[in-house]
Amino acid sequence: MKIIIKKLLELLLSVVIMMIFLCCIFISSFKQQVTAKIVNNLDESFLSPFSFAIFEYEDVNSLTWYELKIEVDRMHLSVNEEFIDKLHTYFVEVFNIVGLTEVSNSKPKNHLITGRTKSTHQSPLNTTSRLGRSIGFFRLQTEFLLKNPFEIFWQQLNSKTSRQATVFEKIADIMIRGYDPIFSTKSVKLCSMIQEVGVDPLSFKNSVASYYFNSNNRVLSNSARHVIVLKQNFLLWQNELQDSQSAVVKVITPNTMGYNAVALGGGIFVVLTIFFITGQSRKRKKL
Amino acid sequence: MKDANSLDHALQDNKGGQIQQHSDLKRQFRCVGLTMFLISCGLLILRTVFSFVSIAGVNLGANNGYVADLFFSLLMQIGILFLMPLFIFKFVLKKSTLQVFLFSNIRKTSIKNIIISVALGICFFIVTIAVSTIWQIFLSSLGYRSSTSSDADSVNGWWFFLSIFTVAVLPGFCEEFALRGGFLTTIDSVYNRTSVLIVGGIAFGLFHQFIGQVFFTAVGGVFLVYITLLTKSIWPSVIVHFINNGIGNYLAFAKQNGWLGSGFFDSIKDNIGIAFLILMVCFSIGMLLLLILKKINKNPQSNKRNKLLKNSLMVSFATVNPIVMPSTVLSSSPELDSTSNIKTKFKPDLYDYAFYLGALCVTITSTIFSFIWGL
Repeated sequence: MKIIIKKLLELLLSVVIMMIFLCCIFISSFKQQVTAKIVNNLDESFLSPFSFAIFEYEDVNSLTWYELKIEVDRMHLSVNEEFIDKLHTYFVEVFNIVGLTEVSNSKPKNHLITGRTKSTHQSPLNTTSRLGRSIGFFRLQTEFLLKNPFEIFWQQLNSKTSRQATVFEKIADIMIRGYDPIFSTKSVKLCSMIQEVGVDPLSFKNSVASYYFNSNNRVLSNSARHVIVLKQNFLLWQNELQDSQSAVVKVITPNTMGYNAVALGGGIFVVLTIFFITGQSRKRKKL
Repeated sequence: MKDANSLDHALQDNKGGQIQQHSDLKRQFRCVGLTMFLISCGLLILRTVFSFVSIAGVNLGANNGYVADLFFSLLMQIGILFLMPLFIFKFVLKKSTLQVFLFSNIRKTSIKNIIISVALGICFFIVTIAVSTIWQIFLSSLGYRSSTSSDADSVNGWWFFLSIFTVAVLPGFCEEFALRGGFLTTIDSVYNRTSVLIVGGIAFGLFHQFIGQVFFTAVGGVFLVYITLLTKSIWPSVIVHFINNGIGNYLAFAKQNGWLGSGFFDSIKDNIGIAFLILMVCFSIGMLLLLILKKINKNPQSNKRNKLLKNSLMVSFATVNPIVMPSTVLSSSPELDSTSNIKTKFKPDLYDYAFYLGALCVTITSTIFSFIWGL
């Protein structure tokens, strides 16, 4: 009888071990749905984690453009066309307010807001080593380039995920390295996309080349680069968007709970499995 | 006859001592493994909890992010990386607090070591920049794009000092306590010196659980393990760690606020040739300082004494049992224990490794996930 009970307990233990691991995977998918639900119900707070900055660039040819970088703390959000349009409209308005529609190197001090605003400029040189540097506050990085021929395309691009933006960068890299866009499948597709939005592919290519050449080779002078933080203006504007549920389409991934659960479950699974295996071999040795 | 009896007694005592020591080492090894596993799980759980706090939109005041960051750092550094190992070592291994500190390599070190560590910290920072950059380029080539921001904010005053406290002071001590303390002492009793360096480095890299940091922290970890073993004290590595984090944090704030050195990172990017030259100079100075550190911490008297003790023990033991010469016998003397030149090598089995492998699984999985999701 005792032997049967022991065997049953062993069987139960192995089932429990497997269940823990499966539960973790289950939690992973479960959390994703919950996150989506939370986001859709975040009426007034969904914009509060927003912070963004405008970068002004001036290249060697005195061509100036502005880059808007938006960062969303806490979760990845995917935004739709309506959102992009509203943001763009607002952006142009803000430019008018702060007098940056003209090429200017002067900082509009009255609109310079200091505070908790993150720049999305990721420096690989920052080597501050601290455990838990990424504590799971997800951020969406959306970039806009204005006052250049491909701003519409850029907006469309950013209506998709930031991951796709990386793909775009790769395509742009291929283009600037001198490949003929007509003979490249990806580039042909890209050209057709550009033409669809009414932009000349050649000027687009040149602009991209200019942008990437300058940013990759650090031709931009530091003094020509200004960071203008406009969080306060954005906070005023967000009231207009509060009613717009359609601004948030979906949560694209990831969820910390899910992957953390899998990692934790994996660790526990390994420990318990080793205990289980070594326990069995020890019993055999004793016998 | 009398002599033979006394030799028998001595051998029996020695054998008993060996068994006891082996048992102690086994318990210590498992206890440290448990600690490492709990730390790796604790870090992950804390991340999850804080992400929930964030999603729930808990209002922590005007400087929401900083306050959350402060809480997170305090809990993680002091709670998980310092207090957790301290209490586990204290109560499971039944050691006094002082013994735990000694076990964790918290020992006095000379002024010379401290001065050299300060200089090493600066060199370490420069070299780490290069290693980090190479790693980031490699990750970028794989399509990795981190969504986290590493720039400081344009805030002044005491937030900066608070940031120094959470980014440099706490990690400098607590991370070193966790990874160059009892853990290092334990793996040093199991592996040879080269393996200890590799294992210690990898552990430090993986415990960051972040793909962007895993490589350069692993490389840095090897260096920190080396100077800890060299000086037999945690303080030099604490100083190096503090200086590295402190400079990085200061420069991030300087960039945002236009303080002295604000253009440091940009000037590196703009002047690659000069940056490479500085790197080489710092690397050379660092190696030179390491040699000096090694020379300072070389104790010829102690080595000579250990050699003599070792020889005498080998002779007496070999007289009775010429075939078996377990290494554990050699460290039964407290005098030998006090030095790391002659160490007991304990061979753990799979059961002893359970928690270590669990910790490895947790940290590797979370690191891989941080790569997949671009966190």
